[in-house]
Amino acid sequence: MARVILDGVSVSFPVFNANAKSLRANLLYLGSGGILGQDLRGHVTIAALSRVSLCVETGDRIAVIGRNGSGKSTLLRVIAGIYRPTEGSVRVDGRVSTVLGAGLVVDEELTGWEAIEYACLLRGIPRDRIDALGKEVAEFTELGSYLSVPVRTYSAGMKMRLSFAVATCDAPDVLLIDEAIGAGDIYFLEKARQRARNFLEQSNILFLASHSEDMLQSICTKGIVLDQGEVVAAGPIRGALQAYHDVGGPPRNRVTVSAVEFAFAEASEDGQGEPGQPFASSSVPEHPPAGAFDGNARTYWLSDPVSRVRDTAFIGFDFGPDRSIEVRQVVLRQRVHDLDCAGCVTCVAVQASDDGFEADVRTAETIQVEPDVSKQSFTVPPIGPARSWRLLARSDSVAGRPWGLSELDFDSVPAERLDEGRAIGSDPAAMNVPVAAAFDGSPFTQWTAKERAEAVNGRSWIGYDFGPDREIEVRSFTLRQWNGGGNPNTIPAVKVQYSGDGFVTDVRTADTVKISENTARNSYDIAPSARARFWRLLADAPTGGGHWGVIELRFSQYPVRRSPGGPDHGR
Amino acid sequence: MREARGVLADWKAGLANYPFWWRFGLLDIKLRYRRTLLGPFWVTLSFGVSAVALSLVYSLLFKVTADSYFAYLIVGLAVWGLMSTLIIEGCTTFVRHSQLIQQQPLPILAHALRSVVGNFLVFLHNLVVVAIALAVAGVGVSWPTLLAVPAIAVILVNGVWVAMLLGMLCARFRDLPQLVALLVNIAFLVTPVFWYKHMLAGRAHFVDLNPLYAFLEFVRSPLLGQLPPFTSVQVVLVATIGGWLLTFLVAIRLQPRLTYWL
Repeated sequence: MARVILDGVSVSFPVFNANAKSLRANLLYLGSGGILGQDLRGHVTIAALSRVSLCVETGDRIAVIGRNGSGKSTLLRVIAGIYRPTEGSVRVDGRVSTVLGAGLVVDEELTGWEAIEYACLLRGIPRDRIDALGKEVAEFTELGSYLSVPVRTYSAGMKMRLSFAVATCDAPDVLLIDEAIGAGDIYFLEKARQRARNFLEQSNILFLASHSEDMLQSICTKGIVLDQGEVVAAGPIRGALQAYHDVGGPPRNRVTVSAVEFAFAEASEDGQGEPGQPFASSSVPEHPPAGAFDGNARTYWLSDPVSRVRDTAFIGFDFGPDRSIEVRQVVLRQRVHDLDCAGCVTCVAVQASDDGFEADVRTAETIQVEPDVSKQSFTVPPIGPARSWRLLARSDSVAGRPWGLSELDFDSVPAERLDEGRAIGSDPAAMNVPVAAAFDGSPFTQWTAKERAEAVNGRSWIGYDFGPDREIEVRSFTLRQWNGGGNPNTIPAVKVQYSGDGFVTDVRTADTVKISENTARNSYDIAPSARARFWRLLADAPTGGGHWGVIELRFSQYPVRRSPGGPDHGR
Repeated sequence: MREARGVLADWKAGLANYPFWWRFGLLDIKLRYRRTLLGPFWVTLSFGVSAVALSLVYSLLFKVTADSYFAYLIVGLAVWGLMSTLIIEGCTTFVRHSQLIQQQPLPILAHALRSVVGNFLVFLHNLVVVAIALAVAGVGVSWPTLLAVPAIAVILVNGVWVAMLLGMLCARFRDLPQLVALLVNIAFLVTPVFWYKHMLAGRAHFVDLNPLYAFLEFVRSPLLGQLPPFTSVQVVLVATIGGWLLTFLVAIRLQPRLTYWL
């Protein structure tokens, strides 16, 4: 069983300029110690990978897609064990084999035969097998009599054949190929493809980084898209390639936001609370960020998210002996990019207890979680206050199911009931599926018909009229988009607007929110604005018309709040 | 703690991967002389010729003509040659093979071992010249001669930590190789390789402070049929243990990040 697990892997490179790499700079640093030394030592670091989490199991052929410098090679080298991640951990079960450069790993003065022998040696193939495997490799390369002349006389394609053949000769469990394979001719690509398919039958894992989309599409089953060191999409190869095209445009400026920086202006209902104690069934939360606690919401990260749930696993929070909190909303983000997701935990129980879940275990709700990395928020029905709250995952399968959270918020503020009002939209005919059950207390849900997924030429919006007697300040919304089958031109962002007169003359914009590309339900926070009767999401179409279809929309008065202050507990 | 365990695991894996470092060390020497007529015997020949030339020059300079000086000088040059290449090539242990290190996952220690194997093989070629010189000078094989085998092994063991330590430091600080080469050149002059310690008369104790002299004498004396001086054995022992400890401490800090600097 081959398996590759990356858990929150970050890699940052020091880039030494001539000064920083030399001894002089460091000696000067010792001597001066002040500003001069800092300047001399001020080497730049490049974040080549940031918080990449992956879980790849037997039989996957993964395309690693991304622009130049997006971190593809670094990712492969991290998996190969060549680079040690600066943060996070890598686990690879199985023997790894690599083709990471265009050249051969052995001296080019060697003849083809010798190169095969020594390259096998490098791969750690025992000597008694090298003879037999060497012959097979020679056969596969079809280099014939060229094998008797030095490799330096070979063309790039011929070298690549040799590297590929050696790398695959003894059916490694994990094969990593970077670019190099692109040098092959069409005939060879077909052979390589064939070999890659055999690979799958031998139930191994392939990672292939390339810019040749034809090749990726024909060899790989799944893809991950990297952009500036982050995994921005993962899934079946077609979708991944699509996402890669969507990434386009000039490179984004990287802004690293730590948990501390998620701050909202609005003060919490019951003021600053005392920090409680996070708890979990297995790993201890690793990064409880400062300021995560404001009496209501709470965020923390789990350190070992890919551990499998064999029986039950939970993560939760103990609010302390003196407090009782009623949790009304849960926001969670799962950490693992499990490309399969067959066998992930999809169902979690929200439970409350006053005695640490000994005798008193109350289940508030069982929620369905999307096997997806996106942040999802869920409303919990009222069951009264309790000291401890947790999410419980259960697995009946013997093998266990992967389970891991990267972020978990409990929010105790129950929102005001908003059970009256009516849906509004730019196309009233489309607003024909109001679901009664969706009016469950705080937020409300509104579906639009699927026909709304047509291209937006001009402007399209969907919103809510809270009625003449009420003014609401919307602070978050939950949105599920209708996916028209991998639509290339979806709306990247919506404007959250409010009005007092139905958007006739009074149109105010609260926030512009970037929409996640996937179809999962996502929740978004909105900057504080003002109270108003009418609220809407406005899709501003790019030229040519983007596609836009909302199948679920909830507005909530209360944002998931995280205050800037608060003690830094647990460090 | 995690780093220390990682370093130890790497070193263990490096030692275990002897097919790699042994065969590739051998290959390095073979390739250096591929397509030449004499092949690796260029090593023997060039050392033999330069050693004879040097011994002629020095014997004229110092006005010593005894066969024993001839043997002393050639043995000294061979051992010094091993030590100095271990140090100088140690600087490029990793930089030299940056391509390989970035493409093929191998234990870091294995690269140092490969480098040492190459230098050892060159030394073996030079031993042919040493044997001839000893025969000409009439230095017979005696019991202390056998001590040369473990003594050379000790030099190689030290060569490994030197290759690791300097290799890592030089990958990080690119000035260091030049500095080391310079120091080794000076060390050749101040170490009794081509002159006798007693020539310094009253200031001979300065020589005892030179650890390279201790290593040199540690191997040279047995080859010349004498027991190595006790101080030399002591210094070698301390340097071996101390050197490995130092390398371990430095490796804990530098080894995990080594590949980033190549």
